[in-house]
Amino acid sequence: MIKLEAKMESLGEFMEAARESAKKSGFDDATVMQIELAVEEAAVNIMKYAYPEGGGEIGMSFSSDGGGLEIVITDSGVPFDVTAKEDPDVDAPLEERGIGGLGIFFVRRFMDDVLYERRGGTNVLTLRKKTAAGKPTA
Amino acid sequence: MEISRQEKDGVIVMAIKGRLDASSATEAEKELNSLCSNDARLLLDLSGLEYISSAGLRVLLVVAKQIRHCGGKLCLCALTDSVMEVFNISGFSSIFNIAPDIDEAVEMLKG
Repeated sequence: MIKLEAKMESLGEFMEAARESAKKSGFDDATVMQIELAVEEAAVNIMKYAYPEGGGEIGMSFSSDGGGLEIVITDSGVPFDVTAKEDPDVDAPLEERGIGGLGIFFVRRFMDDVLYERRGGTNVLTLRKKTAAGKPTA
Repeated sequence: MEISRQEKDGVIVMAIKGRLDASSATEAEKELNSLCSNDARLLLDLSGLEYISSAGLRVLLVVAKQIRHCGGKLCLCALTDSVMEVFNISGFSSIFNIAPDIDEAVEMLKG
């Protein structure tokens, strides 16, 4: 479990940990990148919005079994359910295009499971990515 | 992340290498936005870009809007597979001119 300040300076360390865990879990390079991307977007979201007063920390833990990788991201900031956000309009033309909501959209697109819970005063976001062996066969 | 600049047939070619993420986005925005002048023709060579997140996409979106505002033209080229996937999923592949390589991109911008 890594616990670091919810500041942009911590991002590199979180992403390195995500990259290493994803590689160890046996994912190919393209999937490792998807996992990194999901972790960056989730962490940056917390850095930007969870602690409006400043301060605060982000916790991240990684566990893997034969079926895939599970990443649990926690913060004790304002409640924020990423699974309840609406998807952005990805078909909008350039003039109308904003970037809001895209990060969370990536988290949902690139991970197999995204679960949000509020436990006590803590936001708990669980992200799971399955390996080919962990996916149900058709 | 590294950004290098050269000119080719009147087109400014900026090569972005490495990772365009939330930690490098501010620096990238500063470098790219300084290029917005009247009729600027800007080509972003992304052949060395290994990773892009929503923070990186935001920078490209800001540059695209500015270039359009000052009557210039922008083209991206040589996206790696992983970066292309992020563009496809976000719908960014349909709002940018994307060429397979530098030569085709330069032709596109000259025309």
